[in-house]
Amino acid sequence: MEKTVLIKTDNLTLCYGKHPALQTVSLDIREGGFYGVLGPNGSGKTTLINVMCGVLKPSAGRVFWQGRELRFYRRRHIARSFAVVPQDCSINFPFTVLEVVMMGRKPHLGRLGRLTDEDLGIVYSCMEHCGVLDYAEKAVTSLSGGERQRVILARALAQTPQVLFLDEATSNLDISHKIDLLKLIKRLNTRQGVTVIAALHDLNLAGMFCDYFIYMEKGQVACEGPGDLVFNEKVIKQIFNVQVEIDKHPVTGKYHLTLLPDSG
Amino acid sequence: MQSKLILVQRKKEKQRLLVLLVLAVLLTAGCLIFTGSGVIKIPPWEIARIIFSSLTADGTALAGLDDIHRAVILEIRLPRILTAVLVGAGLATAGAVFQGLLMNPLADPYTLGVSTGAAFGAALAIFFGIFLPGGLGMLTVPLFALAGALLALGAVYGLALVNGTLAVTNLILAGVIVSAILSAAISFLKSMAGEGVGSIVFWLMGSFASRGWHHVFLCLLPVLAGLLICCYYADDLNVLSLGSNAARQLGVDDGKVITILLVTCSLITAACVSVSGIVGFVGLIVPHLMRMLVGPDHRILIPVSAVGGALLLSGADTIARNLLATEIPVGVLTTLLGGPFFCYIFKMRAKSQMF
Repeated sequence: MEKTVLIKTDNLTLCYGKHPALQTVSLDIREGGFYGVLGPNGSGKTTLINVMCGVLKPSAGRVFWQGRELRFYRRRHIARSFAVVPQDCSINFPFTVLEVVMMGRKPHLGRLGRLTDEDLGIVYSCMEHCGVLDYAEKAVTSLSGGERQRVILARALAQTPQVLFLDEATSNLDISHKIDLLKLIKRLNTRQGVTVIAALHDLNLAGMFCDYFIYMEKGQVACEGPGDLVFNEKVIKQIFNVQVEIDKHPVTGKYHLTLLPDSG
Repeated sequence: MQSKLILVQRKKEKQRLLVLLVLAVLLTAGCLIFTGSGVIKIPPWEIARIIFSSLTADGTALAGLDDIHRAVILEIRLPRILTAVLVGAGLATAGAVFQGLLMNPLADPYTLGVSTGAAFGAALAIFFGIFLPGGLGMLTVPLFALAGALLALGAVYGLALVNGTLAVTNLILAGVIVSAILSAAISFLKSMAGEGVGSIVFWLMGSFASRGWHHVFLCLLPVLAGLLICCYYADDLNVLSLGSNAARQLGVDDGKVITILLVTCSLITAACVSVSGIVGFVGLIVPHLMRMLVGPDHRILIPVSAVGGALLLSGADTIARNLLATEIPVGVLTTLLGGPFFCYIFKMRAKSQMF
């Protein structure tokens, strides 16, 4: 019943100068999971995501991708399997939305980067999924933050990744866009088996969408496991120092979290 | 719907190639017209015949043509115009790449201090009246300028390299610092030069007056080879212009590509400045104009900028030598004419869409 381990981290440590941002993090990411990386500001969520997806090199420890160390893969090769949606998606040049999404095919293309009709078909369906077809020819610099975020998600999907990393990708969006985006990602997760690793700020959203939780505290994994074991009042009180009440919705099976303001 | 997107995209690809083709035809036609203009007017077909006959070493094509015309074309005007073409292409290419790499629309080929290094080298050679021995005498100032540019480039890289990585902000800062120091040194040389200050100042303003074939050959290889390298990495540059992290996530080895492109473009700039002096404006504005025309995709932006820069600078040089009785420094002219033109276009565009 246990799914295969896709990504394994072994005693990951990363220091910015002398300050350790990650300390001895060892995790198994299994195929098809929707992982939520939770923790207060500065706890190392973004650093963990960046090291796992190969953007940052760890100072010590190793990351394995399908049993082989990540650093032995070429960047192009990694980008065919991993896609990242960052928090800040500002773009300085007036590329059109279509051009930006087409860049997602880059790891699969030759040197000149010419897309075949098949590539363009993938680009089209990713843009359709993310609802950005209507402004395909608009300059990405003229879009609102939420629209741009969806364009970047479309670009990430165009990479046809096995693992999708979200680095607080929904933080700048209003609540309805947040939910739309996460619903879309959840569909990819359940229907196409894309493994999702998402650093999230909003505990309620995490409870709604994630199956597994990784709590970070001061660069270390404080606690991890499936929702039934670790998404509870006690752990959240310990990590975030807030008192909450968590119910499991009887129909949807989703967690709902209520903040109890006076008992903190 | 999906096939419509594919059609639209294919049509756009064709349109971009068409723009490049049109510009290339304009450049060829322009060169013939520019070569023919001057005190001695020579019609374009006659020029075409002269060039054709000297390329094929076929004397019969010259029947009935004036020998003086031939000498004026081959020895004086053609090398000058070709130098302007190469420098224009080189500076515009380097400008387009620097703007993309440094993610800064204000960047130009001179941002990293290469030009100030070249100017300092040239000023030294002029100040001390150095004249290289052997066949290199004619190239003394260009070679000193080239050496100065390379030294400045080395200093900027040395300063910007921290723990083996190049950060963009460090590069800009290092460029500004090295430029400032060298500018002060140039001012010192000027103040000491007395009567000779004129020739230093004139070199600094940039000019193509009396440039010969040796100037063409000095910058031919760096500009053409550099242009090819930039085109080869153009698709990587697209992703890099979104930031280093985005580039890594899309599978680009950012450190390698940034270093290759920066060194290539610095060498292009060094070669250009060494033969022409400091010609402003082309490297900054041509990429902007071309981006308005074909968009920010560097795969088309770089070649189009190269051709556009070549056309602009060779045209400007032709005006510079013909407009008044005395020659106007071409750098002054490009900025005086091109600047207001750009302001106009920029304003019109800003009105029609937010950018």
